[in-house]
Parts: sequence; C-alpha cells; structure tokens
Amino acid sequence: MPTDYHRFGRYFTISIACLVVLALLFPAFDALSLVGFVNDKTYLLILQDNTEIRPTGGLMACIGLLTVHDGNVQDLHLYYENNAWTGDIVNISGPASLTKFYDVDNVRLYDSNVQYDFASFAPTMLSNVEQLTGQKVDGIITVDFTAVEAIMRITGPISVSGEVITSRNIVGIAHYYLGISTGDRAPLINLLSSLAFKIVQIAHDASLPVKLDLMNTVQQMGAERHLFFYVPGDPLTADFAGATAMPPTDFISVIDMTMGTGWADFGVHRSIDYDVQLLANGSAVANLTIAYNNTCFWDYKFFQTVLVPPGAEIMNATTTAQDFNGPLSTGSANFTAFSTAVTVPANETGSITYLYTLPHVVSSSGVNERYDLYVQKQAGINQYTFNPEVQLPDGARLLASQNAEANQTSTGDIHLEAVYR
Amino acid sequence: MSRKRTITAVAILAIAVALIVAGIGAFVVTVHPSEDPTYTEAASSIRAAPYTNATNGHVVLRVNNVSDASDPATAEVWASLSPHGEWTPQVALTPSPGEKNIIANITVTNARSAAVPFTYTDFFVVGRDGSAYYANYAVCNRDCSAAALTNRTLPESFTSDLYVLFSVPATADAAKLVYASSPPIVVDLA
Repeated sequence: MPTDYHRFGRYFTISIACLVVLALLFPAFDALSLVGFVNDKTYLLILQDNTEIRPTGGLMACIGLLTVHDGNVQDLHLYYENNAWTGDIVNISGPASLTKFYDVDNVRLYDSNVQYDFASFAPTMLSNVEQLTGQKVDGIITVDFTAVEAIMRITGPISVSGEVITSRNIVGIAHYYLGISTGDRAPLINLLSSLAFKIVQIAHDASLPVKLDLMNTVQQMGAERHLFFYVPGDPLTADFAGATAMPPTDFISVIDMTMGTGWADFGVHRSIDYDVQLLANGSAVANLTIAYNNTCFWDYKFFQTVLVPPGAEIMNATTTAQDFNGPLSTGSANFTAFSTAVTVPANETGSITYLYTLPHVVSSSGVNERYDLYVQKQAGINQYTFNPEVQLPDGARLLASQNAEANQTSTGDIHLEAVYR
Repeated sequence: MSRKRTITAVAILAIAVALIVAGIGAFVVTVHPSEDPTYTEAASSIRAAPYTNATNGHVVLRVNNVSDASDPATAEVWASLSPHGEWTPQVALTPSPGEKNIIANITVTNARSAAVPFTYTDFFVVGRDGSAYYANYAVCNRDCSAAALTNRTLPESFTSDLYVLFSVPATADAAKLVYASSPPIVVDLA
C-alpha cells in the first residue's frame, strides 16, 4: 500500500479527532467565529423596533458600534435614534416611490432605512456611518424585537439592571424604559446594552445543543426577515442580506412605513387578497387588496409601496381607509411600484385595492402553461394572511397547483404555482 | 503499517469514538434553559387574598381585579389611561401568537410617612405549573404615572390604581400575583 495513503489516513483520523475535540471540549469556539467574525471586527449593530414598521423591518431605535475579537464582544456603544451622529441628516437617492411622493431627498440617519429591502439599504448605511463617525465598519448586524424574543425563548430569562427580562416582556420593558428616558435615553441604552452583552455571553457559554438551537433560530429569523447580516464580500452571510427577489414571473411585495403612529404594528394584522385573471396571450389583469385590521386604540397612519412586475399599469386604486393620498406609479426595469398613504382608524379595518394589468407573466412548460407568483413578506412583519384566486384563461384546465388555497397564514414568503393546459 | 502506528491510529480512533459517544450523551441529557423563571415561594412571604390589603411595611397592595385584556371594559380603561404623547409608548393589547394578555388592577398605597421606591416590574403572576410571568407594561392616571412609573417612587400619602399588563401562554391561568419585595407579597388568585 502506498505510503501517501497511510499518511492521508493518519492525517484524516487526526483531523476528525481534532474536530470532535474542538466541537465537544471547546464549545466556546463560538458560532460567530464560524460565520466570518474572526479577528478584530467592528460591526454596526441596529435594533429595529418592528412595532413601528419601516421598509427594512422597523424604526432604527438603537444604533451602535460593536467590536468583536474572535467572536468575543470587546466593546459595544449603543446610541438612541436621535443622539449624536445617529440623528445627522443624510441624503437618500431613492426610492422614487418615496422621494417623489413626499418630495424629499434627505432624512435623519435613523430614518434612512427607506429602501425596499435591507440589501439595498445596507451599503448606503455603511458608507454613511463611516463618513459620520470616521470609523471603519466591517458590516451590519440588525435584529428586530421578534428576533430578540425568539432568541430569548432559547436563552431563558435574563436579569438586567434589576429587571427580569423574558421573551414575553422584552418589548414592553424596552418601551417602558423608552418612556421614562429623556435626553440621551441613557436608561434605555444601558438596559439594551447590558441585555445584548448578556445574550452574547449566554450564547458563547451555552452547551452545544443550545448553541445549535440558537443557530437554528438565527437561521429561521433570517429566513423570516427579522435578522440581517451584511458583510461585504462574505459569502457565508450573503443569505442573510435580505434581498427582495424580483423574478421574471408575477410577484407582490408590500412595503409599509408608519408615519408617526408608532408602536402599533404588533396590533395590526395584514391580509393580502389577490385575484388574478390570466389571459390567453399570457398577460393578466390583477386585483390586489391589502387589508389592515387595526386592533389598536389609536389610528394607524402609514405609507405603502407595492412592488409588482415591470410593465404593470395601474387602472384604478381605491380605499376603505381614510386620508387617501395617491397612487403614484414609479418603477424600473425590474419592477413597478405603486405608492399611497392612508389612515386606518382605531379598532377598524381599512383596505387599499389596486386594479392593474400585467404584461406576459405565464411561461410555457412543454405543452402546458405555468403561472408562478411570489409573495414576499416585508421585513419586520410577524405574519399575514394570503387569499389568492387564480382565474385561468377561458377553456383552460388546471393540472396542478401549489399554495393556491384561500386564507393561508404565513410568517414567510409564499410561492404559488399553477400549471394548466 | 508498523505496530506502533497501528496502536496510535487505534488509540486516536478510540478517543474520537469515546468523545462522539460522550457528545451524544451530553446532547441527550442537556437541559435547555426554561423560557420562564420557576417560582419558589419564600417562607417570609406575606399572603393575601384579592380585595384585601396586604403590606410589606413599605407599600400596601390590594388586588381588585385580574382579567383578560380582551375584555372590552378592561381594554377601555387601558386605552383611557394610556398616554398620547408623541414619544410616549402606547402599548396595544393584541397578544402575540400563542399568548394572551392579562391585566391586573391593583391599588397601590404608600405605607410610610416618607417616599418609598417602587417599580411595577417587580410584579409577576404565577401559573398553576409554577412558571413566573413578569410584568410587561403598566398604566395609571397622570399623577400616578409621573410618580410610580416615571420616577419609580411613591410620595408620602400616595394611593392610586395601577393597571399592570402580563403576557402569558394562551393556556396558562394566573394562580398567584406576587410583588417581589422584601418580604414578598403573594396574592392567591385561584
């Protein structure tokens, strides 16, 4: 037997043994290290308050700089939304659906997450922060309250500043500290900083099974757009960048932004009713209604953008809500955007309906025709109801379908498909 | 392969197998942290029933009502006491999936002739399985709010109704309401 084979076998055995030892005896070999957080790195850490929805998930209530060394937190400085550089004015070059609607081209940094998704927003945010602070930043980590709750369901209760914080009361306690804080909001910042440190410490010291649970939770929260990583050039975190897909089929992406009626979104349930009539030439007529059941005891005022395929042309937009403003139709080669602003009164349901034509959205699949629809959940939204109705061209027969049933409740994206002849 | 090399390889493999077995064993028996703390009642606890006054020498508490937040009358009181300032959070009563919100109406009185520290976050309810669910948010009238909630202090002669929100599993029942002072005050709700 060749000597090289012996050598390979020996090294292979030793390597396996080393990996097992590493995994079992050194659980401190932190998961963060496995996803590129090695050596000294500085990340922008953002807590998005998704009780006040924004296009990338929520109001950027706390923004901070996190310094990590081999997966260990070395330093964390959080700032409340309007303190120091976090409240500085920055330029926004888009999206046109917003900048044209409100005729604005600059906002405060903490209000600058107006792009359609986190992936579009992150590079600009990184650049703005580097300019404002002079600090080189290696990436952005952002979580919303839903992600924090999910992580704390694994870590269990955490005592911070004399408070017992759990997955069930973190949102209320954070808002209470916000309410009693003034100026630099030091009590809130101190509470959240200590909580962040402790969560990282618990994750770092956790047993392997608990770490795996945490990893699964992080993955799930990423898939449901409650947690994002943006690390330029890092393929390991690319799946967590939250890019909105704009496939060459039919798609719907509803993107809301509350307008000064904060802390409402955990009390607002969204339903998307979509009635699409497919025509024999492959084009379609769509009737899209987005309903908001506002269970809050105060009005819900918001700005809405709906992304649909490029070439879509709006025929009509109506609402059962109040203070209707719009629609404005903008777009690019990849999408068409309809934007409106409305108010849904307290304890009422209000809806916005768009009637529009779609260009060719049907593809051929052999002798059959195939219709695909991607409904993309907005970052920060916990769940929504989807109620589709696909009407086939006259004389067509449905052969197969998926996710076409009525009243689906989802915490993520939905892919509807229908094959017909 | 020499005898020495064979022994080395076998030894490494044996160690690896032992570690894998130990790892699987550790995996199986690892106890995950509980989502909610487990309540252990202190021997020094002051026990009370609803609608009766109980004191730890600093505050007097009287639990007037514990109800589901979906109750219209309860929700109406909550809304009427919720502040409407632009930067003051209003908390919606809609529970998260799998949870329900309950609200305790508690009369809080300063038992001393001087100001005493107080925080609503020391309240928790205990389910029948012994899990503790710590307070989420609280509201009360304007004067009470400034003292008991913002300043976390009850001035001399202070007395007011406080409404404390707890988020609990949808299947849980609140068996006790506890104020985690020294000594604690425990109100039996069942």
